[in-house]
Amino acid sequence: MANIYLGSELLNGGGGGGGGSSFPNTVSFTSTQLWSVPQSLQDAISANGSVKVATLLVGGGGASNGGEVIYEIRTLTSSNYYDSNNNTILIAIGAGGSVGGETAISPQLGSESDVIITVLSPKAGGTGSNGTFSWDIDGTNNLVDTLSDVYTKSSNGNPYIVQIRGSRYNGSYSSYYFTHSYSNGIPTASTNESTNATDSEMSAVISTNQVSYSGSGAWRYDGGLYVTARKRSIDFNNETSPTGLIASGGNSGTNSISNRASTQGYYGGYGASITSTVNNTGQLQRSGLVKIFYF
Amino acid sequence: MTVALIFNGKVVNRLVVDDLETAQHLFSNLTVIEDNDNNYNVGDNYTE
Repeated sequence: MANIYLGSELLNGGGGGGGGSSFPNTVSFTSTQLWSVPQSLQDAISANGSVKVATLLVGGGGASNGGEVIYEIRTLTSSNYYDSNNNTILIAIGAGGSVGGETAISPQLGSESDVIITVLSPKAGGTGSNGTFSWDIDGTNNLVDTLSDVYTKSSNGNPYIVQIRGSRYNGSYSSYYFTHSYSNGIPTASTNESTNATDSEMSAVISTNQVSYSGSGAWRYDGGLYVTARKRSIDFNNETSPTGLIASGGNSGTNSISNRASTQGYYGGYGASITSTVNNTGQLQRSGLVKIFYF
Repeated sequence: MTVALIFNGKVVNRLVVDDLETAQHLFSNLTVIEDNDNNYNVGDNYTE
């Protein structure tokens, strides 16, 4: 198509001409997936740091309220990429249900939480004895899960942390945590950390199937062994500072950037009624949608 | 299919996905369970 000019101003788009910028390309999503960002957008982000796209987001419909509908021009930057190759963006499609799911483009990592999977308390506090103490993970201690279970549960990219909690004496007892972090998979070698105080020393060795403590001087157990998997949430429910582009789900209240009562959004994803006052009884609450318009 | 995403013992979202394995890969930081029967709502407690 030939470009149309008014004087020197391009009127019919053609990739972002002044005053006539348009989005001739569209991609639609009805299920959660990674979007392979077109090369033109990747190049623009690389060159300029950001690129404008138009986004249509529909949250999942709820029982009595539709999911939010948002149409806005948004800025994509490298922070929106899902992977280290900087070529995909996560698209999350909210499901319909009594409480609709939130639809999002590039939901970001949110708060962090330690999930304690195993608590092993070989001794409930008290002064430690000199020497070395070992516990077989598959032994008779108070294990909820074995350490290998922790590895399995954490092996898909979740960092996990093994903590041994004790106290050392340096004039007074102070808590100390031996922390061993792994980013992926089962460690193949033992990790050893130690701490020294004036009159005490504690150390811990953690291997695939055994945890050993050792201590000398004035030290004590202080609650036993904690094995935790550290997980980060996806920021679907950050009410105050959402970092992704989010459309709330029906009946999900004020959980997202523009809640269903906001004037910024409109009801959608709702099977039975266009109002928020009629229950959607017997109807299928529709899932969400994402459309991205880009040059 | 529909999955529920769980973080810290709470359902944080429900999504439409093509298959469970893909969802578990995409949201490896969360627990992902199949929930085609709408057993869980956002905000519900979940115990493994």
